[in-house]
Amino acid sequence: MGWIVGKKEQEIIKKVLEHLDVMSTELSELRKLIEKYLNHEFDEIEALAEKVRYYEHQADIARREAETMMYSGAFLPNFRGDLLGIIEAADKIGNKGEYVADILELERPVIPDLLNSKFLKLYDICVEAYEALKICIQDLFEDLEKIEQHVLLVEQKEHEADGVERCLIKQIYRLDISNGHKLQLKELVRSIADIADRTEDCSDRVEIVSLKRRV
Amino acid sequence: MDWLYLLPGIALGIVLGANDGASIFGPQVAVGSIRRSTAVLLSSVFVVLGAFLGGTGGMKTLGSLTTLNSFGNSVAVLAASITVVMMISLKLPGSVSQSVVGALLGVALISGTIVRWTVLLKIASIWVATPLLATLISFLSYRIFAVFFRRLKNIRVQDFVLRYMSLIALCYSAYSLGANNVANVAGPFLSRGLSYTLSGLVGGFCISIGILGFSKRMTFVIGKSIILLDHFSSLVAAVSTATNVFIFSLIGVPVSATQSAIGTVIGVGMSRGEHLSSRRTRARIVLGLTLTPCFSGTLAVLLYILLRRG
Repeated sequence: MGWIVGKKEQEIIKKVLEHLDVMSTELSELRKLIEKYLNHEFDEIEALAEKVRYYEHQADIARREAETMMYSGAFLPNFRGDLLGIIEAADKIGNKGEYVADILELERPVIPDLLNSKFLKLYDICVEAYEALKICIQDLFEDLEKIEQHVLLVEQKEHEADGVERCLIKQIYRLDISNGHKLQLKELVRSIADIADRTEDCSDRVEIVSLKRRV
Repeated sequence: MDWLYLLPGIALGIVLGANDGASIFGPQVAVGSIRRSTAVLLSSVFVVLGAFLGGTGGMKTLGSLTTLNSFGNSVAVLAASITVVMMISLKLPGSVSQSVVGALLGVALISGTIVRWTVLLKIASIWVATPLLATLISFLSYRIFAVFFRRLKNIRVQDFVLRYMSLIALCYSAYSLGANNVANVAGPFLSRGLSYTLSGLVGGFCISIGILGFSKRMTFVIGKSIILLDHFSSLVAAVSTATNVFIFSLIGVPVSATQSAIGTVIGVGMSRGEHLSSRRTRARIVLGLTLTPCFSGTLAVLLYILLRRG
């Protein structure tokens, strides 16, 4: 009787939301890592980076499961492609989180203390954007009308992140450090800000799906 | 040898199933709302029901167009079958109704049989009205259905409704097709003395065989050549086509399911504020209206002369 009530669809929705939750956990582990890194508590860096990688891998597993289930006949065909695109786009956010963790763990860039608060601020805005995206995707399965306001929130957060990113890069290039060091810090800033950019890309896809459903 | 006269009716039934079956479920299969196997199975059942329960009106109208005997009727239906097969081979969606009327007229004129011109005028004017009414129905249906569809808050519920409504629309379309178009194939059966109900049943079975065995090719020609619709629009188009064909089955005039389908797609587009009616589409409808009966009429005349000598 599952096909009557859309059991497959319910399972996929559960899997998609699980994928998003795992990435939330990954991002909160990355937050801890960045905080410890900025406080020069390097002992736990490797363990935290490992946790970030673990959750990124778990997110990949959830994504693959959702994709496999989708092609067993759940949802109407043209939404399958759309949802697949959304999941893939969301997954890229987690990949970026892992990349940031790798930079901190493997390259160990020296971050001047005066930039600490800005780094944390930038990261927190990115996470806020991601949390708004999560609600956006939930809206697809709960209330299409609310998508627009959450897409706007994502855009607003991404814009805010852009501002902090520019400010940080400006500050970095005014520091009396080597050019190589500047480039390394700029790369870190850009990678963190990419989390918000990728979040916005994903929310754009969600918005397009909701617009396509408008009759 | 009398049974030979039934063969063109059986053949046309199969051809009609292959051609018009595709018209009713082609767009929905093409967008993936319904699997082809499901569409084929359901429509083959409902087309028989429609032909059996609602085909009498159309049979009476076509029967009253001429006073052809059994031989003349069979030749006309044979010519119509050949015309539609040629159109399918050229991947052109042709009209069975227009082929049959053209052929009946051709045979009637060459054999000197009475043609009731008032009936012909009624049929021709309804053919002109078919795509226009289809456009109007789908334009209004889109607006009405959209009001309810907008109340469905999320994608899961929307998909659920679209999926099941598509199945209902498919059954409705197949029923309407059977009720409206069985008259095209029933001529030879009626002229052999079968009752309207029995002719409807036999004709319905023939159409059903056409849908089951030969509709694959045209499904994708029609489904993808008209326009790639979204699921909601294709559902509205299917319901509107069915309603349009059903209305004319109540009036008792067989019409072209393909031209109805084109009309409904245009109507859906208009409702969405898009112009889907190109000069080519309009030309296609006009050509269908004029060229198909002319060609099948000429072919029927040639066949009549050839077979009468034989």
